[in-house]
Parts: sequence; structure tokens; C-alpha cells
Amino acid sequence: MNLFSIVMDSCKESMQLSSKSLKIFVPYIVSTAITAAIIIVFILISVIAAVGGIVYRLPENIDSSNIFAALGTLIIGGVVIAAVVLPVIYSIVEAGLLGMLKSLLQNGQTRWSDFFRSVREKWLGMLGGSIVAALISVIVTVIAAVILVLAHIITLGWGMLLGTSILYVFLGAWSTIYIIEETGPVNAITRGFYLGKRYFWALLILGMANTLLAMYLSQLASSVPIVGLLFASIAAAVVGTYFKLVLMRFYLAVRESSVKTEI
Amino acid sequence: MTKVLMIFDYLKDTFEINRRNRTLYKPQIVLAVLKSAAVLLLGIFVYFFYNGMLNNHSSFDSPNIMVIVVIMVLIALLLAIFWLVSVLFQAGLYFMYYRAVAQGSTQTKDFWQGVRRFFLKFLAIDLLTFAAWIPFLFLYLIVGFLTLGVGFAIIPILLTVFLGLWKISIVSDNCGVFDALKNGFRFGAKFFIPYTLFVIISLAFTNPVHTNGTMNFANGLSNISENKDRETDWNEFSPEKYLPEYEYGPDSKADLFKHVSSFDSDFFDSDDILNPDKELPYHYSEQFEDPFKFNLEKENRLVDTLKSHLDMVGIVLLIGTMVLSVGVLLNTLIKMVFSVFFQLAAFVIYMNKFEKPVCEQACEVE
Repeated sequence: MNLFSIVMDSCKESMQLSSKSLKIFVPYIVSTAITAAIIIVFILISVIAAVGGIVYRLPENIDSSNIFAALGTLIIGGVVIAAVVLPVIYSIVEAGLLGMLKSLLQNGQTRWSDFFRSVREKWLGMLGGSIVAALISVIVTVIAAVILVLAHIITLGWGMLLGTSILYVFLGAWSTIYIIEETGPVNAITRGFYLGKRYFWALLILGMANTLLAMYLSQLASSVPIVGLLFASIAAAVVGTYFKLVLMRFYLAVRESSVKTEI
Repeated sequence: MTKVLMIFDYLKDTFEINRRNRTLYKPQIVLAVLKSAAVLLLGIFVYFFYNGMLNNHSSFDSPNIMVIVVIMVLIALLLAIFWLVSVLFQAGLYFMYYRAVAQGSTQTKDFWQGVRRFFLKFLAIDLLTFAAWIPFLFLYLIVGFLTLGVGFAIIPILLTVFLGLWKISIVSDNCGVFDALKNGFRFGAKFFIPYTLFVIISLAFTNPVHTNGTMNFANGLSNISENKDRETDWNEFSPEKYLPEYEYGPDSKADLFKHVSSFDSDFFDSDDILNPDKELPYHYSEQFEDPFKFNLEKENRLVDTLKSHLDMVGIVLLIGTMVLSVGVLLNTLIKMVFSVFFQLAAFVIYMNKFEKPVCEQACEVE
């Protein structure tokens, strides 16, 4: 059986399982909503503070030090949210969701207790691994920035997609491996790298399919007036969850076919 | 749900057929090269035309209408030829797909057989579709606005579901144009949900969102030349920089500058400028109480500098066209991989009509 068949079988089984357990789509949708709420509240507070400052402060008291103080607060607040709050939320949701998916694949069903148990056991490691993976992504992106931009221009738009898909190949599977195997996050990242190296094309197809479908469905959903953004976020969350399940199923399939990745 | 899951089985079959029949890519590669060459030729033609206009100053003031009409006719002819070539390639390619699915393999001769048998029918379909678009466009716009924009997104998908199998039916059922339309429509209606899912997946790959602005790049390149003209700092051409011999007062400098940029070029082109007895143009004498000392040689230097900037614009245009033609080639080749795969998959799905039994074991969770 070739790798494409394994990928298609993983997609088929994932579709069947996910249609029976719709609760697996809830974590990503809720996390998207929470993230959006945090960002909106932050922006609202900033705007109210700025407007309030302008309204109640006499014009002659507005000087460069006040403006810099306001800007600094805004930037620090934004950095705290982006670097601390959002990664914590992401790690909790990711750990819980992958625990549910593991239970679904192994037992044919999943419960909310699977979510909370996985969060208790794995969220800290997930947070650490996410930070390491993010750092690696940033370093690679900075080093390859010129190549990415040139490739994007020369291929009229495909360069960035290929770049992000290649990052997915080598860094996309570590969280799945971390949940399934009894190993640490750094070890999971290393094993994920070797998995990507071995099954490059299969994971590239999954990465591209994930990105292209999420973008296309988000664009379709966003055409709905007023609530388009909400529907687009839900569409992206659903596609993201589905492909997490596909990736986990694919990993289990290649593991069961006695192909092991070793450090 | 069973029929939806069958899509993945059909995609597996498609992959196998695709892997065994690499000749399916040959026509698309040739078409991609032709497309790229057409873009390059068009760019070179525009560059030479632009250069020709640049060397002939009068063209800017009184452009030859006939030249513009000839150019537009040539571009329209080029597009028409390219459309006919695309239809020709499509007819041959579709028959190759049919052979690959029906017999498991295909050869280059199948391409020419497909062209002979189906070129005119495909041409008729394209003309009918184009003719139908004229009245349908208004309906499309009305529905789109009434549904507050949702229709603009949904209608193209529905059209693909119900009309996308038209040409496939002509080839696989070997029937007439209108019978094929009925067959395709019935298939789309009967297997609406699974086929719509397939259409969405195929559109996500073959008409990806991130490259919808592909031609914005081309527009951006053409905008580079326009922006360079708009952003040119005209102060760079101020007379005091190039014509220090001018004698003028503080206020007249602005007037002089205005005068240089708006002066009637016919005056420069004529011999009257060298005739000291010739009465100066009306607006010229009105702006100045004392005519300034005019140096024709220095004025030509100003024009030459302006011309060198415009030459640079032409070169940027040419290089941009070369880059664009390479981009068109690469973009088409990447899209070709997906379009061949999903067009072949559409043949597999249509010819099997979701009747292929699904292996129950494969659907169970291990």
C-alpha cells in the first residue's frame, strides 16, 4: 500500500469518526472565540483609555512623554497577550483536544473527561514544546525569508504556501507524537522532524490540504454578511481539527506498519 | 455518508491511474509553455511600441488612433487564438483521461483522436456558455446582492456542480452537446452532497485563495511604470538645476517652472523658435513682462534627462514582463499537477457513479 493510500484511508476514517463525535470540534472553536474575545477586549480598553485620556486631559498636558507612555503600555500589553496568554490557551486546548482524538481513535469514542485528563497531564509539556517549535519556526523563517519572498513572487503566490507546508512537514507532527508516545516535548520534536523527513510528500500533501481547505472554506464562510468572520473562524477551526485527526490516524498507521523513527 | 467516503477511494484510484500515465501531463506542459511564451511576446511587443512612442515626441501629444486600434485588434486576435488552442488541448486531454480511466492507460495518439472527435463540440459548449453568461450575469448580480454577497460565493460552486460534468459526459457517454448537459445536470442533482464536497476540495486546490491575486502581480508590474511617472520628483527638472544662465527674479521662478511644464510643444518643434522676429505664443507673452533669456540647447538637455527616465521605465516594463512570463509558467505548472489530478478524479467519479462498493473493513476503526 502506498503512502497516498494511507493518507486517503486516514482521511476516510477520520471523516467517519468525526461525524460521530462532533464534540471534538468544540475545543478549537472555543479557543478561537476566547482568543478573539481577548484581542477585542484589549483593543476596546486601549481605545477607551486613549479616548478618555484625550477627552479628560487638557490639551496642554498632552506631550511626547504621555504619548510614549500610552504607546509603551499598548505594546507591552500586546506582547504579554501574544507571548504569554495566547500560548497558554493554545497549549491547554491542544493538549486536551489531542487527548480526545487519541481516545477517539483507540476506543471509537471520546468524552470530556479525556480532554481534562490530557490537559492535567500534558499541558505544561505542550507549552514548552510549543515555545521551542515556535522559536525554530521563527529562526527558519528569518533565515529563509529572502528565498520565501522570491519564491512567492516567481511562482505568483505559491511560495508562501509551500514554505508553510514544509514547516508543517517537519514541525507539525510533534504535538501528536508527544500525546501518543510517552516522551518529552523536545524528543517529540526530534521524532517529528525525522517523521517529516521520512514521509515528506505525504505530510506535504496533508499540510497543503489543511491550509488550502481552511483558506477556501474561510473565504466562503466570510461571504455571509455581519457574521462572516465568525463563520470563517468556525470553518478554519473545523478544518484544523479534522486534519489533526487525520495526522494522528496517519501517524498510528505508519507506526503500526513497523516503520519506526529513531533518534 | 457512504457515498461521501467513496470520494477518498476514488482519489486513491485516481492517484494510481495518474502514476501509471505520466503522458497525461505532456499536453498541459506544452500549453503552459505556450501561455508563458504568449505573455513574453506580448510584453516585448508592448515594450517596442512604448519605445517607439517615446522616440516620437509628437505621439504623446497627438496619438495615432489607428495605431491604438491595430494594437487592440492584435491583442484580441492573440487572445482568440489562445482560447482556440486551449479548447483544442482540452478536447485531446479529456479523451486521454477517458482512455486512462476506461482502459487503464493512454497514449499520445489518444490526444489527436480526442481533438478530431470532440474539438467542435467543446467549442460549441464554450460558445454556448459565453452566450449564456450575458443574460445570466445580471441574474448572478441580482441574486448576489439580494443575498448580501453570499450568492457571489455559492453560485460558482453550484455552477461547477451542475455544469462541470458537461464536457466529461460528452467524452465518456459519446453523446451530443445537449444530452451531455442533461446527463451532467442529473448527476449533480442525484449525487449533490458528495459531489459538492468533491468540487469544494478540487476548487480549493485548483483555484486557491492565495493565488487569486495572481494577476494582481501583473497589474502591480504595470503599475510600477505608472507609479514611477506619478512619483517622479519634478523639482529634479527645475530650470535652476540645469539652466543656471537664466536670469529671473524670485517670483518668476515658479512661473517659469509652470511655463516649462505646460508649454505648447509645437512651439519647440517648429522653426519659429529660432526666429527672433516671430511673435511669441499668446500665453507666453502674457506671463512675463520681460522675456527671459532662452537657451534652446539647455532646454533639449532637460528633455533628454526626462527621456532617460522614461527609457528606464521601459526597461523595467520589459524585465517585469520576463519575470511575469516565468511566474506564469511556474504557476501554471504547479496548478497543472492539481488540475490534471482532479479532472481525472472527476472522470473516475462520473464513470463509477458512486456505485463502486466500499470495503467495509477499511471503514472500521482499528
